[in-house]
Amino acid sequence: MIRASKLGFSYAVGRDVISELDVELRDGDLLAILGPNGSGKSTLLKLLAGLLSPKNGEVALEGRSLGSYSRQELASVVSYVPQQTTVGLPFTVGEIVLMGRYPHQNAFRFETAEDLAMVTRALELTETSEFGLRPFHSLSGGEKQRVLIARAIAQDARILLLDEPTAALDLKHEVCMWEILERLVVEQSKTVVGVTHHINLASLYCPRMLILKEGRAVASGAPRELLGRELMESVYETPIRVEVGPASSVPFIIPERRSE
Amino acid sequence: MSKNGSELKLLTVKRFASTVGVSAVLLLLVLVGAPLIGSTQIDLSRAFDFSIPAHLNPDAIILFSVRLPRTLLAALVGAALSASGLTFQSLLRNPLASPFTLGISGGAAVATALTIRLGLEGAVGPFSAQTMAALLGSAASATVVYLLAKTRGYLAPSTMLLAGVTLHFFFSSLILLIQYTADFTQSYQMVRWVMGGLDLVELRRLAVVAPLVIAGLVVLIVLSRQLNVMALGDETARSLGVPVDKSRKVAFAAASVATGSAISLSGPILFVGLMVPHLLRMILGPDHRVLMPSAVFAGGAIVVVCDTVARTILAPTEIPIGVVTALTGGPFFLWILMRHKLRSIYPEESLPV
Repeated sequence: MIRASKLGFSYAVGRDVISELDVELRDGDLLAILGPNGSGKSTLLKLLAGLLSPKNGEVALEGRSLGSYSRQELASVVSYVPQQTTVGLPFTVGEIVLMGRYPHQNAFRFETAEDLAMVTRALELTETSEFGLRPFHSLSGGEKQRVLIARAIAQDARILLLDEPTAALDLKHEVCMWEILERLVVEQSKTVVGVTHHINLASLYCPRMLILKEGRAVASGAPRELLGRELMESVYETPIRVEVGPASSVPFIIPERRSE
Repeated sequence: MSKNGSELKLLTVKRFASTVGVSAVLLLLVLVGAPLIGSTQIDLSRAFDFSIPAHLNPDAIILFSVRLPRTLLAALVGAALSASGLTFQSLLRNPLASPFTLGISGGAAVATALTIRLGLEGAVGPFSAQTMAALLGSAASATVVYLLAKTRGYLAPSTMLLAGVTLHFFFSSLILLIQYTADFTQSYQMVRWVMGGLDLVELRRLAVVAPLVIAGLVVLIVLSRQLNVMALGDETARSLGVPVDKSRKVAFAAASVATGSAISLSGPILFVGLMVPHLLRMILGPDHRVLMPSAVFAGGAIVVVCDTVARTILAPTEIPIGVVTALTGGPFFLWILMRHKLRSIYPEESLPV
């Protein structure tokens, strides 16, 4: 369980990116973090991953402050996929996904059959097995994104923090990705947090949402409670309307033209 | 579809041994072979006949006091430059990086040129004034680059690269200035140092420097797994448990120590540190766990072979080793580039546009 309380962070003095923020994540949570550009979503994710240290408040994992964990310890509990990844060397897809096993190996241990099994499963889940032997840099943007998520899955941490995991994916693969994340949550009671701009898919798959604006939590709860016209228009500062999906009965946001 | 997954090559002990073993055996062969080749034919049975007093046995003197130290130094320098070049290419995320990119050879060259210009003689222990100067010069330039690039405890690769390259050009101008004020003999000595040379090394001097180089290389080999993960970017590497800032500093220091100590005896030997890592990466792939030890062994072997060519091809005249590595390495590397097209091997983002 991760609990962040009274969290505050700034990159430069006097300009708070995150302030007074509380988040609580239990095992088996699937949380979407929404909000306009620059609202602090990625910063919050990095704070939860222990990649940034909070200026105020603290993030506690199982009751212990994140700062008291070693990098190695943290890596076996929390995996993180950044918004963008540039791989500077011609590694193959398989080699990259295998690097997800790094926290489970010590300096002199070689890769084992268990590592291979985890990697094979992660590749299959993300439908990237066919690229296994290709150089990562030769893939398309969406294929790369799936491979990077496979890397995080192979890490086999209890908590997955993903920064815009579906930004480069086509509709089918985006739906597939949310299904994979849902399965990880339901079948293995992993905790998954995804920053996303795709409100409707988040509404379809995520039981919980957290909406940020200017570094503060505007609202949090189930999509049904949050996705109202008034709130969403004030958060995104653009006219929208809300419709409920006939099959899924979750609310969807439909944008409208700004000018009459 | 799952079939492809099972074709993934794991790094097992067996695969590691069979890949790295090839270059290790290669190094062993040239280490044994090179001392036997030379402008003077030596009689092995006489060289190993220890009943003859050492000073009356020219075969033994040539083999043990001249060729053997030289071969060992060649291997040591080749290993240091290749492994450091690989490390710098990885740390700076730049395929043009070499052990000399960050001004280490420049610092050593300025200090050596100054020693020559000022006519400093004398020795500290087994070291001549020149060797000491080169050692201190490379340490000083590495420290300056480190301090310039360090911001809030973090080494930024791009700042490191810019600081190093600027320093390199600054040192080149300093050397020109020192040369301008020097006389002919001094000037020739300076030029000669920059070409690199493996001659006139006593075993006891080698014995003092070798542990420094080897310690640096061992650290780099231990860090090779982390260098792999760091290719995914700092944040991903951190989230996987790699202490990125610390590893980068330690790798930089280890590569600098290995390079600085090696070239304090040999002078800068061009091209090895740029070419060997690329050559091995094309053959073995980018995995540092395999590449780093291979660079140590194969890099050593390549310089031993180049040195053997340098001292025999125009015998009894000797060509400077740096000239041989650059003259053979340059065209050879261009030929590889033409065949393989570097652009199809390296991710576009990592190449300078």
